[in-house]
Amino acid sequence: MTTPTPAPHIDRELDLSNTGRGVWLVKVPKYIANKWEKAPGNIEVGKLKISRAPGQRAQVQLSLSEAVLCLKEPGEQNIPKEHRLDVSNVTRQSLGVFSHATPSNTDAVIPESEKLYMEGRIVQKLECRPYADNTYYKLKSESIRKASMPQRQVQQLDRIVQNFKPVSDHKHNIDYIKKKSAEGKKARDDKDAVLNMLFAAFEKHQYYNIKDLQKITRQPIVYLKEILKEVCNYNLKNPHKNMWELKPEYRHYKSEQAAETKEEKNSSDSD
Amino acid sequence: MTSPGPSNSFQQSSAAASVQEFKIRVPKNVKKKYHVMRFNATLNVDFAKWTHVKMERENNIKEFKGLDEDMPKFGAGSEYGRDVREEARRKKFGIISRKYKPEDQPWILKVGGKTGKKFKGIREGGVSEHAAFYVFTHAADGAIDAYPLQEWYNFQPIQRYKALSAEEADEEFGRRNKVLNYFSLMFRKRMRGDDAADDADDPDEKKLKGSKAKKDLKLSEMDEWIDSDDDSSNSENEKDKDNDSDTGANNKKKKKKAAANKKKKKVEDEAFEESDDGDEEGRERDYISDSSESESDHETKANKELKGVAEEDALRKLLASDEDSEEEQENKEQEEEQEDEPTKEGEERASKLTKKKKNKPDDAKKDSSSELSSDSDTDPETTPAVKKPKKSKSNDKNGLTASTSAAGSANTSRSGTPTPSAAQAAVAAANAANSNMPPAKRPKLDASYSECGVTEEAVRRYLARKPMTTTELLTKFKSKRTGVSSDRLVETMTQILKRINPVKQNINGKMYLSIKST
Repeated sequence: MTTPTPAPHIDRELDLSNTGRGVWLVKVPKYIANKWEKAPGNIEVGKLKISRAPGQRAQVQLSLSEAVLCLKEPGEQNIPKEHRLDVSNVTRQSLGVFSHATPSNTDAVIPESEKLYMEGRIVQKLECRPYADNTYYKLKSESIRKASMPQRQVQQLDRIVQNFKPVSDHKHNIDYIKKKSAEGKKARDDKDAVLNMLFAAFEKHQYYNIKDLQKITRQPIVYLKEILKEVCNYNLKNPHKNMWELKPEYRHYKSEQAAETKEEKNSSDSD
Repeated sequence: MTSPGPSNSFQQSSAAASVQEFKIRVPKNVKKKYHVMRFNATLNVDFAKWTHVKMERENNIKEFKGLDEDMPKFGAGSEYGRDVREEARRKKFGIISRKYKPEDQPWILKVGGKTGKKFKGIREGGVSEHAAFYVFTHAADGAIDAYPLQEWYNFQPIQRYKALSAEEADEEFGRRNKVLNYFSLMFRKRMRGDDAADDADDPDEKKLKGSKAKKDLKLSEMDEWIDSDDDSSNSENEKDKDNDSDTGANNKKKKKKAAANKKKKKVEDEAFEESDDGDEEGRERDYISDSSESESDHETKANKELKGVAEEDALRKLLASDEDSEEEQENKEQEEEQEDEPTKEGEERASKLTKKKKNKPDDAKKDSSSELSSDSDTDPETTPAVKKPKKSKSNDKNGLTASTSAAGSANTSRSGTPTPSAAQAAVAAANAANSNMPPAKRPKLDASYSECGVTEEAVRRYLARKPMTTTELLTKFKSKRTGVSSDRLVETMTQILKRINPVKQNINGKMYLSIKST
């Protein structure tokens, strides 16, 4: 969601239908998570085996499916199939899971609303631990090797690398000159027309820099200044230093609405 | 290969089945993102009890943008192209402002409607840096759905009350000190009351009067404090006085050193105050009859210790007014420290070496006056043998002061304790001599104001705190002293006001009196 304003309807209500459900929080190694991310949603990615022997704590095991194990890019290491899951309880904090559904396409005619669901309370934490077997050690040694490889390496160059060649005139300079010459010299417009433009501009904002006004009216700066001196004040001091504002008698901003009509008359007179 | 039985929760699987198997799937539901909300257990959050829960992202774009954004975007007062220019200016200084991302803002969680609790969930980083987290839920067909968890949010309650600003907190802090100073006032008052009634009356009656004067000084802010405290503090008073006079002769030599070390020592004092129980005991035996809490439990003790500082403060001021020199005050502080020292020493072995130099004159003094004090106490205090001499010391001081001050009651404290040595006798003699001295100087303060509870000091304090009308002032006192006729109250009040001559100002047609706090 990149829209800054709350354009899609955001439902602030948290959907509590699943609140009572107990869920498990499972910590898995990254290499498993990577595989699972790639796996399609409909296949079985693994099996969870809970074996209970009377008088003992239940043993939880995770074994990945063959389909997942085979999901690998060339050059990737095998990952261990079997994992042990250590079960622990959530202590000293209460953990919940909520989900945040974002609409898939915001351009739809009736935009789906963002929705928040409570997904349940975490009742147990499981930590996935690999058995220290050969495949696991291979995987680890490979990852260590990769990590220890320096990011940058030395290369020998057989000739000078020239990044850029000298240019007599850069392209953007040429463009700029072209554009300017196409515009031609700024011609002095009719004074009324300029004043209208100025008043229109000052309707939007109170303070303007002369450069901005020059851009807006497209008048030569000398001429513009002449006109500005008639109808505007130049601020020399700080909150709005070096900026022009209309003389009080020409202003009719919201706060001075009462005097608006009169001032308008005045301004037309002075024109 | 689904699980044998329909199981709705993980716990339900029967014990009979030794091995259960669940299929795990990872549904690719791109629309939903799963997050963890974490609460501290102390918050007692029970998700099952939640109703009407609202959650949304915090909208803090205002804080993000900063302060100067109150300028209008258009119309009166606005500048053309201000944002762009500001951005350019920032860039010149190398500040590249980040975009405001509404989806990165913390969550605001409201539980239970308007009056319910409010939480703020802040995203935590680094949780899934080296491992991935999945949440396992049961699907309808008995398989397990595993959803990856994206973010962790730590939810913390939002306080609904307003915190004090820096200035306000400062003000309140100042007031805290003032509360302590009230004690100094009280003690001054009490001493005056005592002394005014002194001499002529016999001890018992005086005792009564003293307590009455005490009651008179009761002020609303600390009513309950006083009740719990004044008896024991009174006894402390007496004892401190004794000690002061006791060591008074030796003080002058040590002035300089004391001044230098004062600051540091003071701090240490505060730190150690809590754990002393030796000197505590000595104090409480003084007046058993009127102290209601002779078995000091620890809470009240801590409380008392706190005030103990103030009381000593008060005493110091009072005595300083006699001698009128600052150094004298410092000496007294020094004495207090000495009092504390013996009990401290057990804990303080480590830092003792550094202090050794300073202690030397003290030791000399102590040896001369009595060997019962600090040095003997350097032994672990828990042994009763060490405690005893202490008690006896305070005890026989009582016996002597009893002649001048209250204390039929003092006799009830144990009389059969051992070791009245020659040194002690000397000290006692000095005490007796000294304890008669201060009263001679003190009565210069008029006791008449203190009748019917209206004292110049109290009035001053009220006025210094905030401007008041006279009626307000009177009600302050009326609320406390029901027995006194209002005429009399008004009379005394006018006298006092005349004396104080407060600043008068008219606000809304009423005359408010105030005095500049010094």
